Amino acid sequence: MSLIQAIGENVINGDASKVKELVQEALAEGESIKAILSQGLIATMAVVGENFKREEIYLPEVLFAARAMKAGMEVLQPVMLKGGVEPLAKIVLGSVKGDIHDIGKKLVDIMLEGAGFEVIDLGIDVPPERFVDAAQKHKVKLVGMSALTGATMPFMKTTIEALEVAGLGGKVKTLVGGAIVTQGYANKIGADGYASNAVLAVDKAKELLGLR
Amino acid sequence: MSRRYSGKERVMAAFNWEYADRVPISLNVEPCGTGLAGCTVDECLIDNEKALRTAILLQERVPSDIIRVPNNSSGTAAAAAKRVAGGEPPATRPRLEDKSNLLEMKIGNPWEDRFFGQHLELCKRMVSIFADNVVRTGVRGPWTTAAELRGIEQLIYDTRDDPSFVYSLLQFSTELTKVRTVAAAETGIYVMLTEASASCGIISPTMYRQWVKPHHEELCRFFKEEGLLVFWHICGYIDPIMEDIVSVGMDAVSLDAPSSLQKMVELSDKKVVVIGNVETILFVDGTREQMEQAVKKCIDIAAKGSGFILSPGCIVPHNATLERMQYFYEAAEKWGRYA
Repeated sequence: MSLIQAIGENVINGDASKVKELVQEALAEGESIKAILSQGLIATMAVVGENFKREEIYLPEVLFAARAMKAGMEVLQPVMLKGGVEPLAKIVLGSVKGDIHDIGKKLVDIMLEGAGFEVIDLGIDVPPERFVDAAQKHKVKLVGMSALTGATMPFMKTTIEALEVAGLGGKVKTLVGGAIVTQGYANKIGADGYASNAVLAVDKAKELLGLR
Repeated sequence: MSRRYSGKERVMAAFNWEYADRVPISLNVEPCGTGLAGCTVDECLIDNEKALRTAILLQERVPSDIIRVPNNSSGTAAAAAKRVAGGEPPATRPRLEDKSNLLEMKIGNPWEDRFFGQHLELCKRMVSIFADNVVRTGVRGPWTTAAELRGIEQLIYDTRDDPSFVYSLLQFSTELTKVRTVAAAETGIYVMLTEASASCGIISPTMYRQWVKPHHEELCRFFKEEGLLVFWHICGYIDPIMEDIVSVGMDAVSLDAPSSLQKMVELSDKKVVVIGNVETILFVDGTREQMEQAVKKCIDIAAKGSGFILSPGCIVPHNATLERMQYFYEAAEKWGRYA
């Protein structure tokens, strides 16, 4: 088994310390950053995502795999920065006002970073004005919002409206998700996109930003 | 003409596999009624008088057989108090961010807990005011309590990184659940154990079976010994663990909309009362026809043979409308009559 394959296998097994060790070894042996990233890490997470969509695995397995991938990314990132690798685009991410759920959003964060985006994670309970400030400050192309409860979902629309009032409508795309959010709801509130899970969020982000 | 049953009679008929005049209903909508009482959701959470007034006015407008006590028992109320005072609640970190804090945690007298004690007082008052109804409150189950204390993501990692810690934490949270449920039940209220973090949208079936199910079984045995009838609710999608849920010994299971009512009815085979599961978004922007269709579908699937309580799948959004609650009620009256 090659080192790249071993990295992939240990991402699937969720063994973060092993992935870190193998990525370091792969770099030391002259494997290209691109091969480690795209074949060892990103491609494996795509497999994890497909298995998740088919309900062959569940969120905990995805979390363990994502944690392992992140451990590998943390080894690669300084090397990539040194080599002048630019992110695909900047994205702001947050759970909307009143929503303290974090897990799905964190997964999206890891998957987006793995796919080459720079993610500014605002955390949880983010009021509309913080989304707007962050979008303006970081000159992002996309704002991603998560909501997990019926009580907090309405703040997705409030945030979209705040972005428009700030003159960012049309300049910044909006992507929504969360356990009870649906495509229909996303259409209703004027979101540019909806994703039902972290894997699809990456696909959708690329589509909205014309990167597919 | 057959008589009109009280809410309590309808619910108890469901538990006895008998028929009342119609399918009982449970509307989890009290945050939406605060406008009737001229107060905000936050004010209701910290002021028992306002919460009572809201419940009374709402019940006059849209009668529910099961009436839910507002969740003013803990962090929710603390955050509400901050907002009412004009401030923003500080971002809270999980109490067990440092695992060693578990050693210092004690299960005190629930009546002496500032917020839970206030909640128990409200439970007592609502039970006495709504004597002809089933009044119920929610108590967090052990896995969700553990997730709140530790953070759900970290708890999931702990199941692999430090399983003995998770074992100890769940022992603590199970005892806490027992103490709080008994304290609540002593007010005359019915308890719904809520496990928002135990669905298959958050944990795997394997994780449920290994970590959560043993504690649910322990709790069911305990409640039976105490003579308590307890409702259970796991938010989200639970189809992959429905057989496990049925085998645990719960008296009643409330299904969220993503779960299959059909599957639960078939698997439970009239051994467990089933509650649910109209989509909550219909209470925000559903048409009368959509609500009626959803209600009728639930009734068609689950009401035959009794043992069914019609309900939204979970708590409805705060921007639900009274008009749509009325659609729900009218649809239940129309389609839920037992001949």
